[in-house]
Amino acid sequence: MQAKAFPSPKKTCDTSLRHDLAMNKGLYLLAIPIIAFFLVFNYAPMGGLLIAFQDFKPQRGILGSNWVGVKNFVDFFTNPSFWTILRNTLVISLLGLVIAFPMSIVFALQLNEINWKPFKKTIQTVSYMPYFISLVVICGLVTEFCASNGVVTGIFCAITGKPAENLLTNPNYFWAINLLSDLWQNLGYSSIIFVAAITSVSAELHEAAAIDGATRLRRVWSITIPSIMPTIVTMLILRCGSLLSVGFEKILLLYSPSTYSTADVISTHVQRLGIEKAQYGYSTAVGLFNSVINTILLITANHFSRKYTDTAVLQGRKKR
Amino acid sequence: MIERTTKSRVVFCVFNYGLLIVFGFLCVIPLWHVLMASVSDPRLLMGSAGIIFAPLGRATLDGYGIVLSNSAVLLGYGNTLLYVVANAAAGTLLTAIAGFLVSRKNFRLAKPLTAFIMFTMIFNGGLIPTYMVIRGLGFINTRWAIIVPALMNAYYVIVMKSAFEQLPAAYEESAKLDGAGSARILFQILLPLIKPTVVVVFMFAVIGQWNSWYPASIYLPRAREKWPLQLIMRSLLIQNDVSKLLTTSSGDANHVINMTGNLVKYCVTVVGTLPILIAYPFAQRYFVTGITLGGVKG
Amino acid sequence: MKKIISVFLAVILLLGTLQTAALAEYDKKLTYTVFQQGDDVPDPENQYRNSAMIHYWQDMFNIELDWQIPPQGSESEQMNLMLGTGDYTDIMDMGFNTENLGTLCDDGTIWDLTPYLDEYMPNYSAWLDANPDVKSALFDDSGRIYLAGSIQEHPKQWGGLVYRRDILETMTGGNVAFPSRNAEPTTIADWEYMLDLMTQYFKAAGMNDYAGLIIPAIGYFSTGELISGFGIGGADFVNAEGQVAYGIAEDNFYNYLVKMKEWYEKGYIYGDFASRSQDLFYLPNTALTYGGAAGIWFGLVQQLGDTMSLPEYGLMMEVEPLVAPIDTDHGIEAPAPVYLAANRGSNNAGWAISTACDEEKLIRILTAIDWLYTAEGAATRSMGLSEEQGAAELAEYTDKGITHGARKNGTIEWTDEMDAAKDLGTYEFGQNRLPGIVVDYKTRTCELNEQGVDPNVWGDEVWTSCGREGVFPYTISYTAEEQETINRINTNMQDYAHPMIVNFIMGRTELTEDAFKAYQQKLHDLGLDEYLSLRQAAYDRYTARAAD
Repeated sequence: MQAKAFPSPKKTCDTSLRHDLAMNKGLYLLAIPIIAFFLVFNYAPMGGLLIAFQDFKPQRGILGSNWVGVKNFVDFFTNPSFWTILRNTLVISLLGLVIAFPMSIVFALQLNEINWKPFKKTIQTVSYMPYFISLVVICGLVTEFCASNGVVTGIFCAITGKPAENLLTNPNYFWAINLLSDLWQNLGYSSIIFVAAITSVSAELHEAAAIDGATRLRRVWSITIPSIMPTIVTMLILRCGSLLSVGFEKILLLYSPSTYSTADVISTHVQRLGIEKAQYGYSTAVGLFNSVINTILLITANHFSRKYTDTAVLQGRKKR
Repeated sequence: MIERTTKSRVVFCVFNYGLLIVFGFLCVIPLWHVLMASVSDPRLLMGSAGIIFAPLGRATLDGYGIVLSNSAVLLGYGNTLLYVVANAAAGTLLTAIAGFLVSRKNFRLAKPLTAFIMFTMIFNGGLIPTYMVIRGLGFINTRWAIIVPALMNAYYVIVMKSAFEQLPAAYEESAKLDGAGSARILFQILLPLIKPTVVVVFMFAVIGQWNSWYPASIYLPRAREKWPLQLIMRSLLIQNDVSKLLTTSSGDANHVINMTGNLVKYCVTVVGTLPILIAYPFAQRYFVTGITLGGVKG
Repeated sequence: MKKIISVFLAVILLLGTLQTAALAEYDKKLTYTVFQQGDDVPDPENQYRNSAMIHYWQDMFNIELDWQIPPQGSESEQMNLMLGTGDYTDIMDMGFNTENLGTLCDDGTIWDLTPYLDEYMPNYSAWLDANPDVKSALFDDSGRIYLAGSIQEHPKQWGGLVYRRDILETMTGGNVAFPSRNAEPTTIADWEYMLDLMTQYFKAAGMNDYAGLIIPAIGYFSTGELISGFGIGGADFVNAEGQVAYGIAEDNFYNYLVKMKEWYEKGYIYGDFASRSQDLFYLPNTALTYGGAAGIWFGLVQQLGDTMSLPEYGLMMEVEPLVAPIDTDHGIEAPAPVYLAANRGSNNAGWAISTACDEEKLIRILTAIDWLYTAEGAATRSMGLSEEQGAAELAEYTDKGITHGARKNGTIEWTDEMDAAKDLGTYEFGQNRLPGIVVDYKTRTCELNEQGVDPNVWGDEVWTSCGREGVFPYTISYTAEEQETINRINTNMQDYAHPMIVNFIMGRTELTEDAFKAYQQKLHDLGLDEYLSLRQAAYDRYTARAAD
């Protein structure tokens, strides 16, 4: 890894705050607007999280609503479908993490292997198009494809020899359909960041390796991937931090009572119960539960990543 | 670059090109479907299922007529343009500063600041408290409410951070020896080196702002003339939703109007996304120029 | 002679209104901010701002309305924001309110109108007294009223079951012979005869995607269509003994499931029904219905007659309204009423006055609103200004295309000129969304279809032929606590029941009496009894109020 050639400077000086302040006066000045921004727009509203412990009524406000302790959390945990929706949320999320995420890297690498510039550009340009088409249209097409006489159903049945049925009403296929349609819509867009990272990789390193007789695949493996590793790890950790936040819009468009058993996730559950019927306290409690779990996952992922790959989001690089 | 043509290389290339062509084709489908549907005969559109490869019936531009004759649409384009430019420019700048700060190794605030920023990624206070803050600042019904709160988000800061961390420390060291201040190191030396990432963040900000309608629907209740395009488009869409027949319970709604409503749905998508689709390839160019920048000998 | 009298009356009426407008008590102009749901027009804000009728009305009481129209689709969010942040407008359209009105009043957000009703709103008060059904819907259990209601004088059903008559005619060569010997399909046997013909028709036409009958993704119409033939009036209904019942937990629901399963197996029911959850139940798969590949579905008034045909493509459809099939095998004699054949006024259609108004402003606006409940006010509100009312401004407004104008003096009759003005893309005063009485459309000379029938009347007559008794009123009022419990239990029961129903029909879960008993038991375990007792209590209070 090229960066390894430059070990971080040894900290020789004493790192007392005052010294740091004197050393990095410019940095501190620059930090002021940044801190102020997050304080005002993100931290100030966080008092709103208190409504998770309230029977919140908007017109009474946070100060005037009744406190109910952890009732909202208990309601959520004791809901008859709690375990199902938790499992579904985790599975759908993990599938995205384990399959869709690596795919976006592979796609970026595949693009990088294309030497014919116009072709590369064309593919790159069209690949992110589905991202801009509204979910309603995309899900409408998915519904048509998976109908009992749809294209996808036809191909699927021809391969597996199963009798034709509406794939979307079979709970066994929901996860796969959701994942594949997700790839269809977002693969191109989510690989943008890796495409950009790859273009930063030194061309000279590649040339040197090529002269040394390294094969194409070998160069990808030992030059490209290590060079973009920090980006990959960062993205991976960030994704771990949102593992429990499966968006509800798409699921809402694709699921139906016949697939609740695999398709119902936390956010759709909240949507059905909370927002539509103005149960602010309950939905905030569920959101807070999500956030806490996500924090734990993020810190864990960060910890392992620092241990094994040298990169971490929270602490910066491991010191040597 | 020197290339040796081996058998396995050829196989790989065929496979690679083939796969990408198939995927590229799949990606064009939805846009093509929307384009063709937007010029179809509305009545036939109602009765069709699956992908539309060619306009149904006689091609018509009626749907575009309805969308573009709405005076608010042009105004919306102007507003969106303003929001996109202001937000992406100022936002990318701030994000770069934040990313720079949290990636400094010998800066004591770096770690706490990272945690401070990351925390906002996971926890948020919800709609009503956020509104109260924006109102407290006097931003309601002003353009500031759209531009300022969206300037930075933790995700992009982390992206910037990882880009800065990939840079060899030597640049900074030598600049410091030359007596350059923090701001100069950032803007004149480091930032140009991570241009591809800056472009990505800028582009994400542009796209994010382009697609954004929610803040405007909340913070601009009495300032229709400041609404961005997407909010106007959304209103048009919902207003023309076929299901809206339900609420016009006078039973008066002319079914012809609602037929075109179905068409409008597609026209709105085209009018709302085509400009950004066309703009994207220009941003792509910067990725390519990035190649030469990373080439620093270790 | 008659003509002279009517002109004379009109002049008196006119002088009366002119005098009202000139009254000295309104010498100070009062301005109100109004949160108002937008209409389906390109520029709803200007529609309200420029409406000739609204100008006329404002001038009459020397008030000015400052409209705040939320973006479509964000209405309830903005409503909650207003309530949550205290940024109320003076007047609030409660169409998207999800809060309990009594609670809003107790918390000091909106005015209790009860003390002002008799003195300042005599017309409204008199109208309510004459219409106890609306009165009991608008007053709550504490005997208070909070809304200046938007009330439809004679509401019409906007949709219901429809079927393709033309298919039956084609397949039988014009000799449709239902087993019940009725002219229209009425029994289950009739429906099976009809569905069989339809299926044959679609198959003969070589369609590979067709639907005899389209049912919703949850397996039944929660508003009662179809299941009403099995003696069940929707998700919630009042049975013959006056008891509130939960439709899908009733014993008769088993008969429904058995029949649907049978029909599903025979291919009468749309094979992909279970996946169409994003279609709102009242607009199923338009590709099938408009594509001419559906036989029976939940249709809209606008689809009745031959309006769905495509003559240039040889597709002729004759769509007729339909009543649920009667399950005569199990002793049902007539279909239960459906949910939609229901109420005229409701506790979330109308204006509430917020406490941002002081009492002086409150009284002025109530007085102004009260005019919309007079015969003249209602006519003006529903059909625009008459010739005299708008004399000064009429030409200008009609030129701009912002009023129908040209209503004959003192009449509530729809004229050709008004229809012509309607083509300009303008609407009456807020249609059904502003307070006042929405005048019956039956009295206007409306466009008739080729059969010489007004589809609105035709559909309504068929769909409500089961009567209105036994419909569980959706305008019923609960306390905030009751509401929360009801919502929670209902969501849990539906989350369990809907997948089960679909699986029963599709044969994924075996449908036996024991299985159905277990299903009923599970609903009890989820809180059915508590749910029903709360509903029953509220219903008893409601009926007691209506009887007063």
